[in-house]
Amino acid sequence: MDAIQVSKLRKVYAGVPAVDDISFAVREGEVFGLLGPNGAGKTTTVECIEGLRELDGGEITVLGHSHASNGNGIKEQIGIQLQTTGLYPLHTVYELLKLFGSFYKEALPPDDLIAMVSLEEKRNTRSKDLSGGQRQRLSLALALVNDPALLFLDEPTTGLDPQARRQMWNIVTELQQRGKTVVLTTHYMEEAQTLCDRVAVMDTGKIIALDSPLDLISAHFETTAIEFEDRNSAAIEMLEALPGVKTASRDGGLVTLYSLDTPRSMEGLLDAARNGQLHFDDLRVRSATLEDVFLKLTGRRIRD
Amino acid sequence: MRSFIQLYIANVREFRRDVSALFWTVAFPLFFIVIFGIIFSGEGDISFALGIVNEDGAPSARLVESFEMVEAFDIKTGSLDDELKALEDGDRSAVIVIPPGMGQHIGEHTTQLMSDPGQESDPAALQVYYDPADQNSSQIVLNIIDKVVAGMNETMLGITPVVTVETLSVTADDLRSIDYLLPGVLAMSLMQLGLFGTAAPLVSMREKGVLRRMGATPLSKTNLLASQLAFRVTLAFMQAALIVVVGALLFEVHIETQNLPAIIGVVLFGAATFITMGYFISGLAKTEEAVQGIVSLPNFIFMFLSGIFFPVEVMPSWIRPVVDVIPLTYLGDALRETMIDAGSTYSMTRSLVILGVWLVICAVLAVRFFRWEPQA
Repeated sequence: MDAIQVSKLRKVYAGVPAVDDISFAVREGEVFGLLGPNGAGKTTTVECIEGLRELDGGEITVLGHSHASNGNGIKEQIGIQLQTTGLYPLHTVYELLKLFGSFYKEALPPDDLIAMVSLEEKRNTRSKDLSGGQRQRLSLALALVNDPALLFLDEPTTGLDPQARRQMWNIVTELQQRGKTVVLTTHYMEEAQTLCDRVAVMDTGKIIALDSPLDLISAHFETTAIEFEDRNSAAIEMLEALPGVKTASRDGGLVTLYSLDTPRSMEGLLDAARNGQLHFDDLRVRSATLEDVFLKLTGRRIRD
Repeated sequence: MRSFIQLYIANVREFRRDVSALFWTVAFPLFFIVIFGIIFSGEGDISFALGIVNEDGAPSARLVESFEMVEAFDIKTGSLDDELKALEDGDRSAVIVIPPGMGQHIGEHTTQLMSDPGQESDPAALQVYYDPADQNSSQIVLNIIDKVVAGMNETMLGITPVVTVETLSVTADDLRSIDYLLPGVLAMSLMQLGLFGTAAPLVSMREKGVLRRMGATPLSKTNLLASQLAFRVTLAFMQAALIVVVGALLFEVHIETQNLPAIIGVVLFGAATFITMGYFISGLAKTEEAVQGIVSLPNFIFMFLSGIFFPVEVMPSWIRPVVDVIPLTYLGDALRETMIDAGSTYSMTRSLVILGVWLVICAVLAVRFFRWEPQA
């Protein structure tokens, strides 16, 4: 059964479509990612599903309820973590969880929520005194107050340091193990690849690819990626002519070769360097990622 | 209901922990009452210098005596020119002119009324000059003169003995400017708490995304606004109590303590009206800066045209229709009526009905224009 069905969703701001006729479904129990650069329409899409924005077209069904007929009923059953969360600055973690609990028919005890997001030590700290990562975990706990079956996380780790990001990922994984369906938006490839069962790649208001991260990668690349900084702007044709190389792309000085046979391609690369055809630095070999998929589909890198 | 109580508690808690908000809420009304108190209670019991120009002479001597009986009046007599000059110089609160033939006219008029009460006849007219620039005393003086004249009419017609004049002197002798002004100060501070103290904080909560986060829950906007209103009314009540208590302790302001329940009722009602107005205005403004500007407009109009500091009688007549719809007019009037039992222009019913109309309109508009989201 699907937790969410989106059909031909449209949302227009000042005549410009922010979300342009997209359709997809989120299965119960999965972590579903909306991946794309800033301005791709990810946040608009989730806010339409959450009922925070009016639709300009299309239909949405959330947990079996049609969107148009049941706005607040849906809010009772979902948890929302907004991209930025404004809170009473002088209230403690415990007090805020208790306050938000009062907005729902049923709510989990604040201390259970605090344990879920490992904020025990900050239980009585005022929200203005929390670090970015702690604040983000509090915001997650607030989204969990009504013990929702369906959880929305909008850019949950943006602006966090790597350690805080790892901690957030662990919590999301635990939530999935508890049977929750999670929809998250992110512009971090690594995050989507680590957490998501399936990913919808968005660009300029459209979904340009939708599958599991591994299937997305293997559908576009049966290859590994060889990357280096190119010192003397070699022609793409020359690079694609190297043995084993399927395609090549260039982003400024950074060249990526997608190879079907890494050892042979490396040999050819080293030969070219010895002959003076190529001059490179910072050579590395890695498997293809979602970043490569995005680059291939749009011709741009996602963090632009 | 649970969310209403929890939000109310949250508002109280957030306020109590915000030291600067706490300070200003206490300091602002204190500042007002102390300034007004120092300016207007200086000479202790006030007495109004009333000039009387008796152009009628002996036949009207009894009239002059009637005014002399009022302890609040310090009677001076002189020629019309001298008295008007004194009024212009600020040495008189008002000047009464008794025209020639007044005594005789009164006599004839009274006899005629006694013999044939149904008969139409012209009453004798006293002329009263006052200085509109002397705002705080002219309304009281006019009021007292009215009552003296009413008392005289009754005496002349033998309806009641001189009681009215004596009663008046009891009220008038301990009424000072500060007594008259305190209800005005109170009305103004209730209005400003409503306009400045609610609109800006709500817009700030919206700009910082606090409202947006709550809007992502099933919480209804009616519930949110109601809890905000309840908290602000509590605050207004405490501010009002502070003003009255400080006024009473420091400046011995006269308060009709037997009216206390009515006074509290009017304070809460007035506070609710202006606070609701503040919430309506916060729905119109996009930013905290914008809301300050928008709020200043009703603040100025209300303050200057409501008659809380300037007597309504001294304003040009074309402004009266404006004065008559301004809610602050009625809050000030109702407070004056309940607190000092004097100086009211309108009936209590009318004041409460008009305040109530404003409250309902603002409440509907506040819910209608409320937005969880920052920007438009």
